[in-house]
Amino acid sequence: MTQCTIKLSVFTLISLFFFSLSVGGGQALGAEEGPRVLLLNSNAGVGKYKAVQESFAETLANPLLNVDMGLGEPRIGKLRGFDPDLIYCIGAKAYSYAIRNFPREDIVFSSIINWLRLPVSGKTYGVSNELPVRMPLMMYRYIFPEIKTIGILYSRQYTEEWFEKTRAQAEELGITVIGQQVSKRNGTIAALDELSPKVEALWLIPDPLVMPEKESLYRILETSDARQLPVFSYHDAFALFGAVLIVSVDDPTIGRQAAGIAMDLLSGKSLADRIQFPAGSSITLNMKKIDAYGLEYNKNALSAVNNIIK
Amino acid sequence: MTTNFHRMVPIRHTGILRPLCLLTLMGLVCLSVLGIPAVRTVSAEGPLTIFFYSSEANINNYKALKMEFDNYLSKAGPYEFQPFSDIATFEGQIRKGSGHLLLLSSWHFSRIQQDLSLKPVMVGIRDGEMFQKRVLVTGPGSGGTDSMGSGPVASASNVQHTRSVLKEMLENDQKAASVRILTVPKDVDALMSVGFEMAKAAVTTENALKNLENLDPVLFKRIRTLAESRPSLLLILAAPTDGAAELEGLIRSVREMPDDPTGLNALKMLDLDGWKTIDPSDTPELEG
Repeated sequence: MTQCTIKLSVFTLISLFFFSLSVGGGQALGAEEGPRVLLLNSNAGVGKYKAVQESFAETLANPLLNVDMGLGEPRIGKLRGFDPDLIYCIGAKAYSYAIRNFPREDIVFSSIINWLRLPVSGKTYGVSNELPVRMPLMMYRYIFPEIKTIGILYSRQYTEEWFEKTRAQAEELGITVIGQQVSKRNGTIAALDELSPKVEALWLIPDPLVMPEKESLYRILETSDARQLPVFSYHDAFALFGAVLIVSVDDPTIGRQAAGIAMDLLSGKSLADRIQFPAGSSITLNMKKIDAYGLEYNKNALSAVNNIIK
Repeated sequence: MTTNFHRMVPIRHTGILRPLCLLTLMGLVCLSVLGIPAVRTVSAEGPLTIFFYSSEANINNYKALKMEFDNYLSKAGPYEFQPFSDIATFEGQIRKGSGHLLLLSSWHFSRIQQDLSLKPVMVGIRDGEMFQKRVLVTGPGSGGTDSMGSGPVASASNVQHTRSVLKEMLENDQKAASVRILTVPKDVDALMSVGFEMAKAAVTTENALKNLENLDPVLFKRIRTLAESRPSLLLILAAPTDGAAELEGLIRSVREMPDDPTGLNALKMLDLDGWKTIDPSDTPELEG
């Protein structure tokens, strides 16, 4: 009798175990239905890339295979085995790999500085890493309404066209943009010397001739600081070295936007704009420098500020 | 006993330690009489806290917000500010006790008021107004609400709140439920998304639209308002119905924020510039 009971209990337990497995498996399968997406991250250890990946994965419900290329280039056979319908690439390294190895699949990219330097195919879509130029201009005007003249160091080689467009847009917002061309690798500080007496702030842009190395950045910031010339820029980290106002892209929004593009493509929608501007911005304000330079700022704009350095 | 005795031997032979021990002992006695009971009370029950979550603004400047509020509140007493990025954690925290105030949207308040036994204390004001309207806007060449399904609707509110506002404005539950929402950090981002065609439409506030008109009249002219919501109250300061007596000091500090530069800065970070006590006549607005 006892032996019979034990046998029955063991049988029940085994049955319950297999039943739970089948239910669990069914649920997992249900959650992983639909077109497959391969996510290639150039380096998941980079905070900005990680934030983009997380918001992409939260937004998209499709089966997703995450690959961290920071650990080395993955074997293509393994990835093809996943049979992806769409590839999402975070960063230039991931995109370069995808465009070489997945010529037939739709590719969506994000988080690439100056994507125009990279090859694109008829199946390339993405979110650029540069905000529409009106966005930083508008934030400069919002936070520092008294500042009417802003200087830009640029080069004919890389940013002249951008500079001309920016100047025209700034005029529409009541801001005068004055440019100073940098024509040789070591000419940045001389150009800054020329420019700084004419302007109330310096807008530092990513131009490889203006800032060929980190040292150039430090020297620009030091020189501007000595003259109490506020620096506006595009990367959060610059605030730690003395920039006053940073208007940069919001990484979680980029991930959500890329997921939206992926969903549209996977559902067969055609997209009017293959490459979109980022839809979200992040604002950092350096109050230490504002106090040190005695700058007036619009307190009503504080609700738009994401990070305050004190 | 023996062990204790042996432990004491080195102390008895170390002349310099004896006055030091006496001094420490006296210090401890003084502390226990003067300071420790007060410290113990605060650390045992924790400081009185303002819990904050806003469904109407995708606020992600938590660190700066906490720093600014704590700077102001700590001058007034054992008070602190705790922002939440997640609605479930926020509501879970409310359920844990009654030693807190809440700062939340009027929409959110009206949804949880009864369930969590809350009462409104004050409402935020901006430029003397305690109400705001939501607007649905679209960019150039848009086909109005009919074309909304073909692209995302940008909004700085959370998805749930955005759908609720859309439902009211469109009077079409199905469309409000099916449209794709693109959550962006700020109202100005939602407006830029429409202006630069990253989104088909945007849900934003009348105040943000007015701000755009001042900042970028050219972009403002390209934006068209499709619908607007009923007025709703700005942020609500609420208290648990059974917790108000012990929270009076904290409520007073919050009320006095506009009179202090640090307090005003903290309020400005929430896009407010003052408070108004809730009148019974405002209550229908909070019944959702």
